[in-house]
Amino acid sequence: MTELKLPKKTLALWKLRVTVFAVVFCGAFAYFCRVFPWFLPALIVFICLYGAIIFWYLPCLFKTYVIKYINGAVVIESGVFIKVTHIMPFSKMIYTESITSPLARLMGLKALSLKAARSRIIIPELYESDTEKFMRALAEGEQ
Amino acid sequence: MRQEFKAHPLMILTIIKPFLVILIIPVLRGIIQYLQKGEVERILGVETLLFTFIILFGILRWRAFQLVLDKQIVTVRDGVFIARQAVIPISGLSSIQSEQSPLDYLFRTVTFRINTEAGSREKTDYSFKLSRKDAHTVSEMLYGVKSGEPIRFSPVKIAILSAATSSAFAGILLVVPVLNGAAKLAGMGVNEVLEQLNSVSQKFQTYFPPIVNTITIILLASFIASFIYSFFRYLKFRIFLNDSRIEVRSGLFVMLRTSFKKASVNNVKIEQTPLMLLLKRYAMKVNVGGYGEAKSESQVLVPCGRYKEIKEMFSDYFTFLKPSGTPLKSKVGAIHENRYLFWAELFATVLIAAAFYFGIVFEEFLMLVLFVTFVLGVVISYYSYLCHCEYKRCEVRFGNEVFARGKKGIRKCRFYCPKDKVGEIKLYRYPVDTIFKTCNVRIITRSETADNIVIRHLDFEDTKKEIFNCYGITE
Repeated sequence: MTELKLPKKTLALWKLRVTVFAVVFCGAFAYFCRVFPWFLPALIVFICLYGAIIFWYLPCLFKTYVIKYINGAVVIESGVFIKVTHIMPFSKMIYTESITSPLARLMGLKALSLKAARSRIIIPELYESDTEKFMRALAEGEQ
Repeated sequence: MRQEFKAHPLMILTIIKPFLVILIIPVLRGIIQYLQKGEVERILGVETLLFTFIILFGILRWRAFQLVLDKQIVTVRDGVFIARQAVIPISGLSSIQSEQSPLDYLFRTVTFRINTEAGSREKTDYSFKLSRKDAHTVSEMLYGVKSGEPIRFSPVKIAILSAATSSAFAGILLVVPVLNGAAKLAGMGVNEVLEQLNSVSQKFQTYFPPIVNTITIILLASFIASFIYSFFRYLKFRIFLNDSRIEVRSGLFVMLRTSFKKASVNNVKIEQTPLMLLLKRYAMKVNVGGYGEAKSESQVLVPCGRYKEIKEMFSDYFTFLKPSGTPLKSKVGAIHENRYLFWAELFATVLIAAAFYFGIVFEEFLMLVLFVTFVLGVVISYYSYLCHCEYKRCEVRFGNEVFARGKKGIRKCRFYCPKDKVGEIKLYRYPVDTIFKTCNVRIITRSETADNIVIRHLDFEDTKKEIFNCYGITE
């Protein structure tokens, strides 16, 4: 049985993504605050929420991510509030797909999507070499 | 042996195609205006900028595409900003389709579509264009070198299938966008097109008012358009049966080659449309899991043939075409026959009443009322005939294979499905069913489109017992 954890870079990547999103959102909120002052409390709530996501939720979520490559199946465990265990037997898996954004490419990371009939599981970014190895092994049916 | 393929530059056109209508038509209209009036009213700078951006995006996406074939694995790389790489075992491909349209023929390219059962509904997993030379190599690797001896069908049979599957509605859907585009380019409105049609229809001397002639011309022209499209699409229809795969080739101008796994076949339908009923012929269709952008997951295997011929041809190949199990039929008696004919009788009564009412109130439109009543009368007669056949011959069997015989819309249908491919069996009962202790059975296959058939008014207890026996369920 092989067990994989998400690299630390993945956490950094997601923090960066959330920050970019938050900056755009805060900009919009700040603009509206000038016109409608009651947008200010909403902005404060949003900043608090952003802080909670960056400093608590994301690290906790990524810490819980465990990818197990066991005999005949891939098992993925994750979740902070609600713990989820995905079990995908190899026999039900049809193909795998890697997805990279420009930011992830710069950091040498790739996300993985495991596709079964009418459902899919997305594993957040892993190191490129790990993803390639994983995909190749799944396609060739190695265990 | 690992081989890499790049997409043909014509793929840029495919990528930017959805935006072409928005961007090209205003530009073309500007050019036509310039030629007609010597001046251009509006060519938008934003449109030109957008056009350049879209072309650039198309080029980048085309450059990013790569197909790698390696023994039993297909790798597809795609995407500019969000790069994707899919690794698909060839055994995981549910269907492969190659198409050569006149444009492809001109540029020596072939369009490939590869589908898996994991793809989105009505959307191809991957679609790309390859040069004819590359396409040949890819075809050999994906389809295999030899396809065996084909089963061919004569153009007459293809014509029957095309006529049977064509409809004025499909023709309208096909023709209207083309007419609309052409009228826009020519600077004509829809009203002007209709006026032209009206003037043509007034030249016909009939008992009916011009509006009837106009509608008849529109419907006939649409049906002919649909028939021609369908005929050329199915012409040169051949099927190749392999132990594990089925390959279908068809088309004259647009050449289509589709291959799918035998194991992906969910169910088989042997259908008879009204036209085929007159000729005592049937068509056979299979429902295939993971069938890409096809609107239904359906693929015609036999365009036209006698029922016995079709059964003989395929009963060894699809073993579930020999159904086992006890046949469940409708209850016999005048009351039960009337239950099947209830809606037809109701429609006929309403039609006669409405015809009398409109004939008396709008006396000047009597001929139009008679015409509409006649057309609807024919439709209702056919419907009542179908209902009568349903009463006489409807049947369900639950054995190792599930078989149902009934009607589907305006077609007679025989439905064959392996037991394990059935997704759901629904028994539903209206208040009248409770009185007569009957039920309606809906058999749904385990497919994206949930292909199904309904058999009405079967004995509830017997049906339940058969289903429980078939699937080993105990109460």
